[in-house]
Amino acid sequence: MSGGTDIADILVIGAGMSGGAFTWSLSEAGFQVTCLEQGGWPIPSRYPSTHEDWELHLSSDYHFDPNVRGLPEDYPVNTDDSAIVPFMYNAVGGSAIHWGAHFPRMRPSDFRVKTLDGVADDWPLTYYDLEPYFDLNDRMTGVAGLAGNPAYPPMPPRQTPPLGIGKQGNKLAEGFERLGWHWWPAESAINSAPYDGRPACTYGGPCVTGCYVKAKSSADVTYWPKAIANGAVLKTGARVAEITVGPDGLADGAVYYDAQGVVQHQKARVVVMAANGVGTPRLLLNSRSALFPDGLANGSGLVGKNLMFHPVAATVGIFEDDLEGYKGPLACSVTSYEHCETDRSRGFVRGYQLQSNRQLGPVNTSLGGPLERPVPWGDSHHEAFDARFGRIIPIAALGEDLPELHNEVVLDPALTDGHGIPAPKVNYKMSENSTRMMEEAVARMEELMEAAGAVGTGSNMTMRGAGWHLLGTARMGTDADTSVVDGHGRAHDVRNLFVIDGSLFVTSGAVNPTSTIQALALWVADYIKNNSRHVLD
Amino acid sequence: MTTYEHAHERSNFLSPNRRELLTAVVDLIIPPGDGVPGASEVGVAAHVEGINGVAPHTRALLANGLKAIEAAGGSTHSQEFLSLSDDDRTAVLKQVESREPVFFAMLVRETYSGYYSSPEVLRAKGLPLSAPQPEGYDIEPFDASLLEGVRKRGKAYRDA
Repeated sequence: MSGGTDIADILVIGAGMSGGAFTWSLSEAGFQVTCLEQGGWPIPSRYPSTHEDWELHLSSDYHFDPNVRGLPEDYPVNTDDSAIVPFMYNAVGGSAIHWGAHFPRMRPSDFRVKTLDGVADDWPLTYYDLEPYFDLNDRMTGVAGLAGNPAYPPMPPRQTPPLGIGKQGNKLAEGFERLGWHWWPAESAINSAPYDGRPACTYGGPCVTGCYVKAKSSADVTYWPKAIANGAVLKTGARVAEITVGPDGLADGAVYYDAQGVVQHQKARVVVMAANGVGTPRLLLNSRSALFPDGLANGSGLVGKNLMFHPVAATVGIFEDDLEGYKGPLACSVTSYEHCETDRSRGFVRGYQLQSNRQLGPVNTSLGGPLERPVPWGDSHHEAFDARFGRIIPIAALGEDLPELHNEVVLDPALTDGHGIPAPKVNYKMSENSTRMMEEAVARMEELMEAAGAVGTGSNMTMRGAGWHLLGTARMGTDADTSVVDGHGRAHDVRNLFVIDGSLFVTSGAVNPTSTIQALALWVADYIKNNSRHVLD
Repeated sequence: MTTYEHAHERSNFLSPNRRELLTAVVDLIIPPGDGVPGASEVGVAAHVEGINGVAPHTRALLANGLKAIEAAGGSTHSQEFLSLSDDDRTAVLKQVESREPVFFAMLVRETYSGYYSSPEVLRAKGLPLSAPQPEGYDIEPFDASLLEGVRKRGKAYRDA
C-alpha cells in the first residue's frame, strides 16, 4: 500500500448528488476537500439518448440494476431475498445520471410521524430547519415548477417555469378536476428555460439514459464544476474498500483501489460518507477493526438496518386518442398530494404521492413499461401494441415506507466486487401497512384513469424494479442506542465521521428523496463549517 | 456500431436446424401484420442468438429452451416442429411458456427488443425513428389557468 503524504481536511466517499452539494459548500468556504468516486466522469456523447438504438441500452449497459449492467465500476448486490431490486449508477453525478429528475421536497408532517401518527420516529430536525437549505439547493440546481402549490408551505419562485405537461398531462388534469383531487405540475430538476449557463430541455424524453443537452441538473453539471473550480480534488476510478481508524478511535482516512488497481491510503481529518443507502452501510460494515469489531459507527447495531425504498404501484390508462406520450421528460409531468397524509379509515397510516409519467419508446411499450408484463405475443400482438403506443398514460403511486429492523443491508458472505471487496445483500419485505397502501393506491389510480376517459387500464400492485430510493440505513437521531448519527449527520461513536446521503433518513416521506438528500448534505456542511475547530481537531 | 448491429456480430452458436427453428418461433411471437414485417424478416432470430451468445449460461438457456420446444412438439427433431401447422406450433409454444417461464420470458423480451429497434419496423409502423436527443420534440408551455380549481380547494398539507 502506498500512503499518500497529503492529508485532506475532509474526505468525501462518493461523487453523487449529496457528495457534490457537500463538496461545493465546503470548498466554497475554503476547506480542502478530496472526493473518491469509483465511477468515472460521464461522457454525454455516449449517452444512448443520442443514438437510434437507445432503448436497447436500457436492458444492457444503461440498465438501472447494477447486476444487469455489470460495468467494471459497478458492484453486485445480492437481491435474492428482496421484494424490490435496488437501483444505482456509479459515476460523477451518481444515480442522477439515470434519474428521472423529480425534485419535490419532503413535507412538514414527514419529519414528525411519531408525534402526529404514533408510528416510527420523529426526525431530529424539522422541515423549517431545512428550509433555507432547500432554497439554496434549488438555486444551485435550477428547479422547473410553480410556486404556490397548496400541498406545501409557501416557497420562493421556482428558477424556471413548469415543464409542459403535454396532451397526456392535460388529459389527466381533467380527471383530477372531475374528482376534485389535488394536483400540480411536477417540481423537476430540469431546466425548462436556460439557467445557470445550461440550456432548456428539448423534450426529447429518455432522461433515464443520460441527458445529452445538460438540461437535467445532475451534480456532474451543477455542483461539481463549481467545486473543482474552488480547488476540490475529485479522484475518479477510486474504489474505497474501508474507512480506517487511528488508535484514538477517530476516522483517519480510507483505503481504496485507484484506477490502475493499486491500493492507496487517503488520509483525512474528517471522513464523510456519500455512497448511498446501500453503499454507505456496506463500507461501514466492511470497516471492522479491534476497536469496531461490528463495523464502524455501529455501536447501536443499526448500520444497514431500517432500509426503506418507496414501494411503487403503477397503473396504465389506455386512451383512444394519440397522446404522443413519448414526447417530453419521462418522469416529470403531473403530481398529486391528495393521498399523502394519514387517514386511518383507509386501513393504513401515512400515505402515497401520485406522479404521472410519460412513455419510453417502442421497445419499452412492447415490454409493458411499469406494468412489467409484455403486451401479448402471437396473432393479437400488433393490435395490442398499436392500442398502446402513444396512447397510454402511466401513473405511479410512491408510498411512504416505514422503518423496520428486518429490512436491511448486510455483507454477503460470498459475493464480492471486481476488487474482492465484500458485496452487499439486501433483505427486504413489504410491510402489511405498505401492502394495504398500495392496494388502495391502485384503486384510486384506476378511478382517476376512468375519470380522465381511459378505455382500459392495467395495474401492477408492486413493481419489483422500483428501488430508486435507498434510505434509512444509518439513521439520524438524538439517542445513540436507536440511531447511527446525530441530527447533524455525525456518527455517535466516531466524532469525525459524518453521513450525508439517503442513509440518514429516519422515515421516507412519500416523495422522491433527492431534494431532501441534498438539503441535508448542505445542512451537515454548514454544521462542519460552523464547528470546524471542534470537528477537525 | 449500434447495439443492434453489435448483437448480430456476436458469435453464432446454434446448429443450422436450431436456427431454422428459432426463426420459425420468433414469427409466432410477432407474425407479419398488415403492411408490417414479421420478426424473422428483420433479423430478430439473429438478434436473439447474438444477445444470448455472450455467456455460457445464456447460450444454455436458449439452446435448452429450443430443445424444450422440440420435445413439447412430441419430437426430438426441429424438422418435425416445422412440419406442424401454425395453430399447432402456437399450441406447442403455449405449453413451453408455462413449463419454461424463464426461457420464455427471455424469448419474448429479446424478440420484442430486436423487433422494435429495427428501423424497418419503426418505418413500417410510423414510429419515431431518430434518436430522441438532442433535437427533441415540441410541447406546449404549461397552462397555469388549469390550476384554478386546485387553488380554490386550498391548503393540502398538515403543518408540523
